[in-house]
Amino acid sequence: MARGSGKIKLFGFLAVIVFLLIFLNIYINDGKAQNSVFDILKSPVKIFSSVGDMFVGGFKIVFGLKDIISENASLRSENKNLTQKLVEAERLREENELLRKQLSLSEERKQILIDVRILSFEPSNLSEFAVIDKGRNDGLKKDMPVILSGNILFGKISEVYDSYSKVILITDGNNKVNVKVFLNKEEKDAGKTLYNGVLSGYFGKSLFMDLIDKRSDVSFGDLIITSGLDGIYPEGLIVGKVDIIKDDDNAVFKQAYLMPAFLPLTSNLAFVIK
Amino acid sequence: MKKTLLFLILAFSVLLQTSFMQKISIFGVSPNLPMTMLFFVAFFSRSYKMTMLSGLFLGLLFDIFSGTAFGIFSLTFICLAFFVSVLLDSVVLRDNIFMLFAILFFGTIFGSFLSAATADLFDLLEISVMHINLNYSLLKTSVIEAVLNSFLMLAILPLRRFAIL
Repeated sequence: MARGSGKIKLFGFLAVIVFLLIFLNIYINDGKAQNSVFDILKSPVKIFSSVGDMFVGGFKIVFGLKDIISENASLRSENKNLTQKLVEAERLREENELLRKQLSLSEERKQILIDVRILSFEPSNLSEFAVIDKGRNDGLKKDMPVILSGNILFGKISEVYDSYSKVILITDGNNKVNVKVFLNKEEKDAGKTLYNGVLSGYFGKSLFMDLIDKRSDVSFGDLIITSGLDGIYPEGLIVGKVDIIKDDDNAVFKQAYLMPAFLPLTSNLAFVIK
Repeated sequence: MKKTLLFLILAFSVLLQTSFMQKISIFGVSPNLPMTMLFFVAFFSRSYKMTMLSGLFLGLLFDIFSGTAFGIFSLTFICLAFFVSVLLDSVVLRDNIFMLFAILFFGTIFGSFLSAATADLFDLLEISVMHINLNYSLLKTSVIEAVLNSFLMLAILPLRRFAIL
């Protein structure tokens, strides 16, 4: 009996401490204590993350050798196609520049990128966050978009501290992104129409696209990019590819599940768009 | 000395969780090492004080790394430590190893729902705007996590021999 009441007393005492810390964190401290603790833990986290990369990399090499061979073949053929497209894109860029000059149009707004390192990830499976190694001192602000190399959307900054920031990933259920389908010339010529939607995170690090016009032609493998309509993410960032299409007769909109383009993560380097 | 070593191991488990463990995921769900460690401490230390203090320590570290509002995991881990201590006192088969796995499995599912409910409470109190849906998807995530945690427990069971508790 005494043990039982001791437990309740200790539980109550610890709960009071936590509530006090929550109160201090919100109204007085402004995250300074968290920042100090994180400064201490920064180095060991970096080491563990590198060890994790090495372990998973080694595991993949051993168990995925067969896949690597076939993947290598498909990448080689994709590389040839991309080289062709790169030449075409370069020609178009030059043509575009020339036309802009002739029409006296202002130059395209260039994005300022700040390179950051992803230090750690959300420890629980309930939400999707990452911690990056730069913060307020480096000019980072809340809601700045975070991308990976290749213009792949990763997320946006949700909390900023002095020397680090937290990023809410696009795979989190609370992060809404306005997106549209990317249509290439062949698809446009074939009469495929543009469709928009709103994206949020879904179970198992996938994405869920909602509010797609019922008449639109959504197909497997469609490339989805940001539309820029939400005012947070600039237009044209790569989000992912359509994996599963959901078209219920009774539903007002079509829905789709997407595979995020940023997965699997191959590097810990990211960029914040200023 | 033993206590210091235990808390160092617990801190180590949180660091591993935020880095190494995130690379190991099945269906997008990673095992939860700190939560598994909490059940390990509760089962083998037989001290409710140690269990609840471990819960507070793990929860605070979890909150520092988490993007959700500060305090959600501290409260969840303390509640979990309290419920497990009460349960283990009232369970007859306390020494049965299968009991550990049963408590870990259902405790993980309960812990996930408890964190989601706390996040919703914080949302309601306007402490944060994070909202975690209490739905089928959460159940799927927590069941997979519970299975993974059970395998993880098999891996950390040999720690008993090092007499850190």
